This record gives sequence, structure tokens and C-alpha cells, in this order.
Amino acid sequence: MNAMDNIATHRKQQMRRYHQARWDEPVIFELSQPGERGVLVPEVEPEIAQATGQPLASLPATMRRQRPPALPEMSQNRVLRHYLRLSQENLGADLNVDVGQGTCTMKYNPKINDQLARQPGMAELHPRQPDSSVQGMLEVIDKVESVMREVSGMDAVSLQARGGSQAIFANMSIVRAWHESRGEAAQRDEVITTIFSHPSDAACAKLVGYKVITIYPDADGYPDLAALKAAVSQRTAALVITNPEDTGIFNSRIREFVDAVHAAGGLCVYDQANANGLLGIARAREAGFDLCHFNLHKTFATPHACGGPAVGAVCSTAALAPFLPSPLVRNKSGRYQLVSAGEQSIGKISSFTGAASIVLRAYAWIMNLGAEGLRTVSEIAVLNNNYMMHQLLKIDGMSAPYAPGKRRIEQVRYSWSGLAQATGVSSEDIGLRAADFGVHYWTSHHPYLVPEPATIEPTESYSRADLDEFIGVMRHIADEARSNPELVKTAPHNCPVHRVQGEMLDDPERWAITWRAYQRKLGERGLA
Amino acid sequence: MKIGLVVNPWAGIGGPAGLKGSDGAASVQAALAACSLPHVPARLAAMFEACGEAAQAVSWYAADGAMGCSALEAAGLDVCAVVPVNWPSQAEDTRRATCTLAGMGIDLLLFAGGDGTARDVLQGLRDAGVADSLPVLGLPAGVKMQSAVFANHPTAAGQLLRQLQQHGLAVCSDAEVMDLDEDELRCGLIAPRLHGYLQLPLSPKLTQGGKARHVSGSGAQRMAIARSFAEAMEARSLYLVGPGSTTQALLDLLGVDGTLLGVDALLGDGTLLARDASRRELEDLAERWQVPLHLVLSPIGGQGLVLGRGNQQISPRLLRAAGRRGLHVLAPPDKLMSLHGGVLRIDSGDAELDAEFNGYLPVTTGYREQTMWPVSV
Repeated sequence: MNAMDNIATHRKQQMRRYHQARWDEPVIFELSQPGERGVLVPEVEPEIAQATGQPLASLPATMRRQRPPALPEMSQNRVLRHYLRLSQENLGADLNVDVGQGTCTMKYNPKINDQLARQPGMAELHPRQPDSSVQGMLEVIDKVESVMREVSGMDAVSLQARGGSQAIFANMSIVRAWHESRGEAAQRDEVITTIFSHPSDAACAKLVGYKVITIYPDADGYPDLAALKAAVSQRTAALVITNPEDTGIFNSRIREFVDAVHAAGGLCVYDQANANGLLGIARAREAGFDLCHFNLHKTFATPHACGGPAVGAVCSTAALAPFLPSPLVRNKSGRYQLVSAGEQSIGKISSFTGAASIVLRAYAWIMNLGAEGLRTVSEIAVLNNNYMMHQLLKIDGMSAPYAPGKRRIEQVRYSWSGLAQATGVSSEDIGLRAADFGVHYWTSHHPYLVPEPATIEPTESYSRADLDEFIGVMRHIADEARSNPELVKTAPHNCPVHRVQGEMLDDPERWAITWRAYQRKLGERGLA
Repeated sequence: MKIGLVVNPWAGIGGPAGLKGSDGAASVQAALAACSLPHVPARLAAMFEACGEAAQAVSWYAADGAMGCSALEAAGLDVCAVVPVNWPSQAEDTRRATCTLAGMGIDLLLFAGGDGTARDVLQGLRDAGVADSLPVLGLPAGVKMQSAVFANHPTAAGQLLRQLQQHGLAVCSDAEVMDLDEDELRCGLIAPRLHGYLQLPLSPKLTQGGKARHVSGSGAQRMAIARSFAEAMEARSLYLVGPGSTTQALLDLLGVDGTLLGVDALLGDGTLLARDASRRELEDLAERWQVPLHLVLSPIGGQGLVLGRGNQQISPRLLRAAGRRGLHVLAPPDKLMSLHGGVLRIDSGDAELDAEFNGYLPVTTGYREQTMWPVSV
């Protein structure tokens, strides 16, 4: 096959001949040259030095650094080159058809909203400014809160949490504070969740001090109601649950779950980190929940930004509102103020009022769409997902376990077990091969209850052509698994990093997430 | 890949004759007299058929004659090395042949038989010093197969061999070797015991992508379960700790010199009262101490039996005394997910009592983590 034929074949199959950049770039600390600087600060003139004296002397000695910080010393152009190179060795949300990271709700984050957040009037705000000088931002927070109240049906909202897990932590703290206020905190030490719920639910419950009881699905893939009823008792502090769960299957009996927990005196917390299929369609309030939260970086289109900053919107019923994080934004006679939330508040969940720039981005996105637009977002997300499922299930060896014939909401947990049994190619292999075609792909949280899992969530942002491209990649890899399994099992071939030795990442003796830890654990022992 | 094959040619022969097993030369003679024909060759043939061409790529090492070579030759496979055995063969030949094969650098030991054969293989591998490292797969061909080392059926064994040959050996997991005492069984007593563990390769179907990083029942996971349970133990209570590696982690954590394979009795403060105790001793202890009674059990093998396999020392009387509140099940989540039929079972010998436990039981799966798992008789 000559080169032109090759290109033509790839075009026909919609397969890109992608290759990621490879720069062989060292870690920035290894690029450091002693004395090299990005900015040469001019010497202080004698007159100024005389006028200011020794400003550092006003700091207590214990607060002053003994040594300068161990930062890399580099010129500006080398820093710029370094990060541009790393960015090319990456696969960002703006580069690929990012539908393969199910549960993450990867949607387009409009650039104009970034520009808004970077305007000087916004970027230069300081959290310690007096309320009177940040009326605009406080108004934006207030308006986003009112949208969250409408979308959830709840009575009160806090936007203080700087991320989804922090919001769940806040909700679990509210649960504890509520039971404390009723003198039942010691008795109620269990939180119930499901295996297909957001794993942060179990993690945050544990962090707050609860014992966690996990419910597995019944044969149809729905949370097992009988198991829940067996788990509920006077020790139940709360149920924390996602709906639809990671399978994308909507639990239409959710009200029965909520009622069973309420009957035993527990609270019900709805994890709506990802609510992308439900905007304007179903609300936590009508399902009877006491608390819920939204991740603005999922459903409300603010950037994921490599782990933040983000915002988790905590929503509560009126009964639980006194426990919300403090301070709260309140409008008093036309002026916005930050007010203390009162004695029962769980206090601060994060510094100041949270990540204002993220709230602004979400506000811009919401106001662009309006109420009907938000509902359209969910309708298209669900439509995209079911189109994708229809096409993907035509691939021999791929299946969607549970609830046969039922449509899914915004995402699907698929299984490649048929392909794996026929070819020995695992879902993880498929994900690594997908990187060769320039798309992200994710399997599932652990444990893998669905064998050889893949979780795909198309959101509303992608066109049919985009979805077809991703489907084409999946079909192509499945074909390769049958014709040339070794090719898939040894992937990636077009990426700068080959398979990562996962074993090291799980070994406290060897994992290193900072340069200092890397030097201490690996550098000196010659293992680097 | 080098595979060693040991076949118990008499396996299963006692089944049709109602002999409840085929142990002992007398049973074999009795079975032959009853005109039972050995069914092992047919099961081996089914396995090789399911394995397909991959079997040709394997280097086969085998015990002589009906103990291995004959089946390979019947399937048209070459044998690299032959281990001589006596004829007619006895259990001792299985042990010796296994030990010899293990010393030949094989990657996997394949055996055909039942629980008795599994025990002999375990002993042979212990003699060779590789019982806890050499992967073993059982072709189910016996009368009793309580052990967890068997494939579900010959075709599944063949498919697994093919996958292992093509994709290399996957992660192994501890698999229980269980056996009934056949003499007792013939007297109407059912008392299977846990004899130890073999290393069963997990099939790719069961082998999850991240398995290497999340190995089922890993030491850390067992320790988390043990720590969680230990924190909730009450000093003035009697704990009967059943066999298994998960419950062993609890004994280790408490610093109790108990047994991996038997039932140990201790007080909540860690005082060991009886080691590898009999049913009689356990009932006497419960009588004498008159304190709340707790049973600490782990499901055995893929059968999901919490009670009734390997821990018959715990009688219906003790189960009744402990009740639902005193019945504690410890198991890593992966073990629960791999249960055949997906349910836990209780077979204490008192069906009426067992039925009282139908529904859900909380299972401790990690540190301060539980799941509600269905129980069905």
C-alpha cells in the first residue's frame, strides 16, 4: 500500500494518523542553572533604601525564611519552551474529542468565559476587599445560588466549596452537625452508599468519621432496594447516592430509597456532581432529598483545570440551611453583604467565599443559555449518549451490562468482556491504543464490577461527526484486537510515554509527587 | 509455557456407584466390581478440544500412562518428559509425580481429579517447597469438588489454558483445598476440612485491568478488614474465629497464635482459650463462659459457604447462640464478587436455623467498610 492509499484508507475510516510530540524534556528542576533569572530586579536606589530601612526586620525572626526557596532558576524563554513542550506531550480537553472520560462530563468550556474571568476588574479582586467594593461579584454569587436553588429545588445554597469532593465533605459535615443538634450523633455512625455512586461519597463519609456500608446492584443493575432496607437502622446517619449511577441507568424508584432512610431517621444526600442529564427535568427536591451538590466544572461548563480551582455548589432544604458553611451572601436593603451563618453552621469549608472566578464563568454560561437552554443541554446530552450507545453496541465484543433494552441517561458503563475473551485484549489495552489515535479513554472506578469496563459520556458539546470519529476509533481498535492483538496489547505506539509501571504509583516507598520526594526516595538510591 | 499434568485415573469412579468418593484401593475395586468405568479420559478430551491449537504450543510434562501421558497422546500432543509411576496407581503416586514435575521447572501444574487429588497435589507441592508459588489448575473430574482450585467444567479449563498460553500467566489468587473425610462421610458425618491453599491463575475474564494493583485479598486489604473488626471487639465476649487467610489476619493482628485451618476460640481481649478446637470443646467453652458469643467467619472458596465447609466445628447450637448479631463475615470485595451465583450460603446442618439467616448479612470488606450481601440457603 503506498502512502496516498494509506491516507485515503485512514480518511475513509475516519482514523487520524496521529502522533504525539516527543520532546524528551527533563523535569524543570533538572533544567535549573544557578543564578539564571527570568526577571532581573533593579537594585534599590540608596534614597529608597534609606527611606524604607530594613522592611524585613519588622517580621518576627521565626516567620522569616532561613534559606531561599528551592525553586528552579531559569530564564523566561526557557520556562515558556518547557511548558509548551510538556503541553504538546499531553492530550488536553481542547485537543481531542473528549467523550472517553465518562463521569467527568467533559464539555466545551467557552473561551469567552475565561476572558471574562481574566478582565482586570475580576482578576484583581482581593478576597479581603470590603463588601461595599465587591458588590458585583457578590451579586453574581447570589444569582448563581438562585439558579442552583431552581435547578435543585432546594431552599438554600453555598458556593464556598472549592470542588466536588469538598462539597460532599461539606454535606457529610452538615449531616453530622444535624445529628449532633438532635443528640443522635453518637448513635448514628453509619453512612450508606452504592458501589456505582461517586466514590468520593464513601471517601468523604469516612473522612468525616462514618462507617460506610456499600450496596451492590441487583440483577438488573439498579441499586438493591432490599439490601438498602436491610442496611438501614437507627445507626444510619445518611444515604449518599448518585442517580443515574455510573452505569447511566436512572433509578426511578429513588423515592423509595429516600423514604426508607427517612423512616429510620437518616438524612438523604444526592450526589449530583454530574447532573448533565437532568437539568430542568428532574430535581433533588421532588425525590425527597435533604441535601445535594453540583460540580460547576462538570455540568456548568467551567474548566476542570487539572484539579482546580473548581466549585461545588452545596444545596440544602430549609431545615438544614442553618448548618451551611459560613459566611453567606445576603442582600440587605439592596446591598450585598457577607454574613456569618450562625451558631449551627459547620463553619468554613474553604477560605473566604470560594473560587469567585469559577462562579463567574458558570454564571456567564448559565445566562447565555437561559432556563430553556439548560434543559436543551440535558436533552442533547442524553440524545448524544443514546446515539453513541446504539452505534457502539454494533461492535462485536462490546456490551452494556444490566437493564437490557433500557436507554441510558448521560453516560454508559460498557463492557469489552466479549472481546477480551475472544482476543485476550483488555479494556486497559484498548484505552492505551486509543491514545494512539489522539483520544482519551477511561475504564471505571475500582473494583471493576463490570468486567473489562469502559465509561463513555458524550455530553452536549460534540457534533455527530465528532461522535462518529470516536466510535470509529473504538471499532477500529476492536478490529485490530481480532486481526493483530499484539498491536493493541503493546500500545501506545504513537505517544511519548509508554506503559506506566502502576506498581510504583501504589508503593508508598517509591511514589513521589514532589521533586523533593523524588530525590529523597529515588534519586539518592540510584533508582531514578 | 511448560505445563505438568497429573491425572487421577480413578477420579469420579466412586460417584455412580454411590461410594461418595474414590479414595482407597478398596473403593476402586468396589467401583470396578459395580461396572463403573473411569470417566476421566472423556473429560480430558473435552478440555483439550476447548484448548484447541494452543495445546500444541505447550511443552507438556506428565506422569506416565493413565496418570497423564495417555491423555496427551490421545489428543495428539507430544510429551517432553515422562515421570514414571506405579500401576495401578495410588494417592502416593499423585503426590510423588506432582513433586517430581514441580522440580522440572514447569510454569503450571494441571491435574484432573477431585478433592482428594487436590489434597495429594497440595502435599506433593509442599514436598517440593512450591505450594505457595506454583500456579495450579484443577480439571473437575471427581465425586466431591468442594475445593476452589477447579475450573467450572472441562471446556472452561481448556479455554483458560488457551488464554494462559496465548497471553501469559495472569495474577494468581489463594484457592482453598477442601476435602471431606470419606470414612466419616460413609458413616453419615459430613466434616469437610480446609487443608490449605493452592495458587489458582485467574482467568482473563475475572482478571480485571488493574488487578496487579488491586490484588484480591492482598495483605493490606486483609489487614484493613482485621483492624476494623478488632476495633469493635468487646473484651468480655467469646470469639470463635474460623479458618481462612482473612480471619488469620485478625489473629495475626491480635498476636494470637491460632490456626489457619482450624477454629480458634478467644476472648475479646485476645486471650486464646482453645486452638484448633473441636465442636465439643467449642460448645463446652460457650457453656462455661456464659458471655456473648461471636462467630468470625470468611466464605470458603467460590461456593460462598460461610458455614458448613471447613468449619463444621461450629455447630447449629453455637450458631443459634451467636444469632444474627453475633455472626460476622469478613471478606475482601473481590472475593464476594467472584462467588458462584453471587450469594453467601449457610449450611450449619440445621436447615430450619439456616433459613433464619436468609436475606442480607453485613460483610466487613475493609477498614470501617461493610457491604450488605445476599444470603440464600
